Amino acid sequence: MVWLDNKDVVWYKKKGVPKLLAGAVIVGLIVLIVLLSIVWTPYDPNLPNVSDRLLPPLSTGHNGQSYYLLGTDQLGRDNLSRVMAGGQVSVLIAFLAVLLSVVMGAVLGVMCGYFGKTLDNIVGMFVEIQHSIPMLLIIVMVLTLFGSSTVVLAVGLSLSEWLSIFRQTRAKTLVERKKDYTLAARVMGAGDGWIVFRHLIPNVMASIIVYGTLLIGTTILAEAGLSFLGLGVQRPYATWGRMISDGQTYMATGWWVSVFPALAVALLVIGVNFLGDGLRAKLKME
Amino acid sequence: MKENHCDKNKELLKVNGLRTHFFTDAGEIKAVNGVSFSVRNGETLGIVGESGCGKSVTVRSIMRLVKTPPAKIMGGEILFENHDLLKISEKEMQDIRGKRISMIFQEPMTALNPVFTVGYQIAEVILRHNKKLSRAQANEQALEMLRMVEIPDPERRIHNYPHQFSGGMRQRVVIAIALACSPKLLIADEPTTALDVTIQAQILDLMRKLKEEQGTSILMITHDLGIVAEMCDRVAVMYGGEIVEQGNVKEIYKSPLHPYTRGLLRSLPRIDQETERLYTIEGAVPNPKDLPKGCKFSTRCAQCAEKCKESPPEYKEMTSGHFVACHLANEVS
Repeated sequence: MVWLDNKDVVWYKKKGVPKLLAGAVIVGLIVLIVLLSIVWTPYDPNLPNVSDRLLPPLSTGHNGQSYYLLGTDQLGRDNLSRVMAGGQVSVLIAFLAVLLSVVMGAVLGVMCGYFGKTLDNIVGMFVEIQHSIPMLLIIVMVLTLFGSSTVVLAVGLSLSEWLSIFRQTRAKTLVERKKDYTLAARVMGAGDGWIVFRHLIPNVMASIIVYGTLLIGTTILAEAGLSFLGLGVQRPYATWGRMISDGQTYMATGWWVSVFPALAVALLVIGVNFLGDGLRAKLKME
Repeated sequence: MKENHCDKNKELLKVNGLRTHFFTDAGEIKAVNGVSFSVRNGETLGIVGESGCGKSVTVRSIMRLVKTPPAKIMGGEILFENHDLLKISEKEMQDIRGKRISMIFQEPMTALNPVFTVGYQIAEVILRHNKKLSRAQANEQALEMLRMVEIPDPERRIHNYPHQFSGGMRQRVVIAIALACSPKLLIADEPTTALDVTIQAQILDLMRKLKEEQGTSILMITHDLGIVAEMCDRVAVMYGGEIVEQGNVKEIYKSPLHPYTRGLLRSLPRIDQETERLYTIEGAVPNPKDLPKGCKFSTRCAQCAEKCKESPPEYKEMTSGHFVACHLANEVS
């Protein structure tokens, strides 16, 4: 990261690098493929082709021209195109949800940790209340109220996930606040806002980044789970969760329909977790 | 001497009857109980006293950094350049902190923000108080500050992070930050306590040099009488939230008037005297929740008389500039 540019400490950098690199490659590759699907997929992911139904991977289509690398689904749609396009929703929702929960959790966490008192009590009370309501219930409620679109899904997921970021940040802030450099900043004429945004947030940032990265994995799984339950973004748009769910009916005759999106989810989650773990090892030193 | 364009005898900071109390579940604690002293232009005043005597709370009150609650400044006035710091707004106070009054801390390990380069942290203060400067100009000044506090190879070190510095070097950086805006008053809260003895001497030399160069007044808090002798022009001795004796360093070391000051001085090893065993002041600091009614030192004082237990002694000037708060000051001196 940015804060290690000196030759004296070069050996530090090696720590956690293989994992970080592996994670970055996996995530980067998947994100690239998903981005590519916006402008190009081998076939239209939503166009059924009844004559090519449930073709296994590496087979040629009925017309003798189409070639299905990952086979086709029960409506004859190209599985590869659908896995690619299905990632759009999953990845977008995951990043959006994590971004929202990080911003919400980090800002509130730092403020509560720093100011304490009334603000901390009020936010703390809401957090406690929210903790007593099952996460699934909250998301189902949000989805039924506002319909299920990408943004609503992201907001719903972030509502259930910001709590952990909030707790982490608040705890870290309580530690950092006690350190002399916040007092030193005050002595040098800094106000509360300056201390919160210029001193505390940069200091708790390392752990937020790590935690946020790991949270992406959880969110992808959660979104897949919701789609699997039929609560995700609606048909005909492909999402990984829905593809797994739709494909399970055809498990005996067309395993590839659900196995490939499942592989994509697993791979992305593993990649993100590697990335998070690598970052943690790297940022651990000061 | 020549850069002392301001009047030597003019009082830069005058604290009158400052009282800071802590309100805790266990009751009201009078941490600072009617403290008065002044710092003149270009002068170094030392405040000595043992742990818990209220010296840190005193300077934090001056900076208005005591946390309310539990602490509250109950009374008194803090006149800095003829303005009462207790009457101005927090916003005005923020403009004074760092620019007119600066402070350095005991612990250089945590006084710097670990995620920014030292150059950035010095420049930050400069920019905070000089809005017109560009970042490049501020960096230029930061480099100048590092040079001033004698950090070797400043061009390279300016891009380093605090963890790449040793304790003594960090304290130099802390001093550079504190002096970046050429403050009139520098408050040093035990600046060398956390450092090795050799490094202590270097830091003190540096502070003395910078004080001469910039004409900054220093308010030095310490429990080390050796540092006071070396650094300070005048000294105030604190005990139980009050100043018990104040005066010229030479005079106080030669003829201390308060039994507590005498005790402190006797408990120092001296190079010109053979001592078998060092003197100790018997007993411990009285519980701040339950201070004695009369003289605060009466519970430990060897000369304690009846009236000491009954009424607090008056704070009076014995010889010119030499103040003491002791009933027996006339008799025992």
